[in-house]
Amino acid sequence: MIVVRILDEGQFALADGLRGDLETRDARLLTALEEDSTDAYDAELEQLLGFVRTKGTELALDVITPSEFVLPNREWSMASVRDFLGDRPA
Amino acid sequence: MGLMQRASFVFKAKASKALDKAEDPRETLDYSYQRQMEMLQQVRRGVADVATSKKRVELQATQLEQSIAKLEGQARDAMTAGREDLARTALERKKAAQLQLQSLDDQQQQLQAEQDKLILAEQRLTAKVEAFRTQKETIKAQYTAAEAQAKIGEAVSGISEEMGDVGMAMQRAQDKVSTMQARAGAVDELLDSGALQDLSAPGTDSIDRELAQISAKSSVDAEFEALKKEIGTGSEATAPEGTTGGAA
Repeated sequence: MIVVRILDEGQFALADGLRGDLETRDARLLTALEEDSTDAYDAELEQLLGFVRTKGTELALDVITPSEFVLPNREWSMASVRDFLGDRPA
Repeated sequence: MGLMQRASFVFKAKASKALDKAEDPRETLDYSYQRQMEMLQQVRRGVADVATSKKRVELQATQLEQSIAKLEGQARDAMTAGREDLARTALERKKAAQLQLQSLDDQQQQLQAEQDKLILAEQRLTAKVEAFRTQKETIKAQYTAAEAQAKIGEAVSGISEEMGDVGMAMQRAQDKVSTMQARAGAVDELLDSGALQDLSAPGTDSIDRELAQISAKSSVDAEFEALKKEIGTGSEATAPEGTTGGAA
């Protein structure tokens, strides 16, 4: 089971079989960020969030489990995500 | 590493930092000590305030005592002068001043008792704060030592992991060498058997090998004939098969 946390929203459990799909979408999102393409970033983030929400099962907030992935929510701009990641090299 | 994983690392690192900071006992101890010092200062200020109040009451009492003595004198003077009304008024005021003085004496005693209690509390608190300060420094030193030890442990485990990686790399290299040696041996065998052509030795194709074999056979046949002549046995029965007809 893969647990993905969407910041300021909640946590979702996804089947292990979706890992490949998840990573592919994640890679596209990162590419958009690295290419500084706001439109692409918005579209990829929207798709990835939708993927996690629809394919995953939402876990209650009181379920304490380590997450493997963390996603910004839709309110996070590309600049704020870059700031957030700023102290870590790619 | 994708964005989600990077975000996860950053998020966890930030959370960990925040937790570490909150859980650092050195900061908690320092904060606690600071609070205790503030409390001690408050007690000391309280002692000073009580002492000031007591002093003020003492001054008022002294003034009242002087006033009482004066009023008594005035009452006597008035009586001597035949002014009984004034003498009575003076005595009334003296009585009121005496009552006020009695009240001030009570206040003074209460303030003294309060001051004594506060001084005792201040002394006890000072001793406790001082003991806490010593203990705090000991705990901080222990924590710093433990932290250093943990860091050393982490560093050592890091080194071990690296050494493990080196070991793994050497193992992989050895495996590779063994595989290459095995392959080389297999290739040699195949070359010897003729199943593989040795491209590094030109001119040794199947025709060459056949000619070489024929040549070798002719040589053996010639030597055989020479030996037969020399010994003169002429025994046909012992001659190897196919050697009587000379070179093919």
